[in-house]
Amino acid sequence: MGEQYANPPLIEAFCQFNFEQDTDWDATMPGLVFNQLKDEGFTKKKQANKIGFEIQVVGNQSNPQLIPVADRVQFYNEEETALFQVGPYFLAINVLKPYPSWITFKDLISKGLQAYLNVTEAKTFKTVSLRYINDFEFEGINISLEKNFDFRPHFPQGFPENYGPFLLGSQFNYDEGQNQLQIQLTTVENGPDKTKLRLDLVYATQNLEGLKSEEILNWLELAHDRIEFGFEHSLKEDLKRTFGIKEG
Amino acid sequence: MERNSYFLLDSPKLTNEATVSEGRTLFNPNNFKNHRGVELLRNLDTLISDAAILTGRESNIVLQDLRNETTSITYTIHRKLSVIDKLNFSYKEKERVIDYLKQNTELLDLIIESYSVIRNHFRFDPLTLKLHSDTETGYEDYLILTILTGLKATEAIKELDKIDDEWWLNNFHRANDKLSIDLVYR
Repeated sequence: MGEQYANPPLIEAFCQFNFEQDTDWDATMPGLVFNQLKDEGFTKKKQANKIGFEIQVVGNQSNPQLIPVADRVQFYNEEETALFQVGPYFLAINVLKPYPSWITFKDLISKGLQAYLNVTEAKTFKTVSLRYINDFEFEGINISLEKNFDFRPHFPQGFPENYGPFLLGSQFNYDEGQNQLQIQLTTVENGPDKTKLRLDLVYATQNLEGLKSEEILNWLELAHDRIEFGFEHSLKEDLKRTFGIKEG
Repeated sequence: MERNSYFLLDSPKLTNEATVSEGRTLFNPNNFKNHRGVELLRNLDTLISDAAILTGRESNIVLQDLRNETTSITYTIHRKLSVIDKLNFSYKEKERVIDYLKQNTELLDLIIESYSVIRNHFRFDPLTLKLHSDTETGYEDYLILTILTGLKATEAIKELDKIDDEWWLNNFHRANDKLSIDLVYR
């Protein structure tokens, strides 16, 4: 996203694969995927805990507890700027700031997917999505949305200029609805000294019938093009100028 | 004391989506990622609210976490901070504590887990989070979770030892010397 920019606003991008449960899964598989990826520099292993809950009732008292639910393993690179997440019928490849470039990211996706398919022998994709999350920081509050964004909420005349937090989202359908691009612009921080807005773009497919693993990279290329189009056309030139242009 | 455990969520409709192991009903967030899951969550919301009223605890906050997808590192950190914010901690210089947690995200799960574990032993005692900085010695900053207890010292230490045995000794390595759990007597 924003390949040409010196300081792009991207804070995270990731590609997520979910597979149909038509093959066996066992707990040794993340370790086997790790073995295939550690030569690529992904040597830090972490257990990702979600927060689950549990309720017991003892006598007349219930006892709800928050408990960690381990369901996926993360493999980070040394700088912790990129990671693979491996779980049952699930694979994700994340890159964090600084964004490496689409070519590098796509290469990581390809390697991660190949390793996962080799180990798990997963056969059928359930969902695939590509997502880019961008944060924009502005000094002060009530910044001019009109000056910075083409994708923005429209406030009718007569509304207070002090507009506070907002949430705007829309889905755009491609290929007769087989693929969707969702764009969301939201307030992350609202004052007192600064405003942070987030532009979150996700491209996903709902119809994977017949999609083969070797065709995934073509699907991703198109997904990236459409996300980039969404990104470039959501922002005004004034805002883009603040990112600077990469030299060379 | 005889421990007669049964499960609030032990209805046939709900157990379809639950993993039952070792006499405990454990709900896996993965099971809620479908349309039925949404309906189940509504039911669970009510049940957990009831449980929260019974116990005075903030159990319903967890549902918000389960509803969101967790692949994004950015959103996961944000969500965990949001969960911590809703737990009943008080803060000394809250902004510094939150900044420290943002920089040391490995502490987020520990803080959330610690709340539940500590509440089993120090049910109503105030819990405070503060950042310890020692600029003179140059030691690294670390977070202190203080339990301000009304128990007698011998009882309080006994409870803290239980926390050590049940949880902290198996997990303190995850803190990388960045979290300390201390007792203060009222």
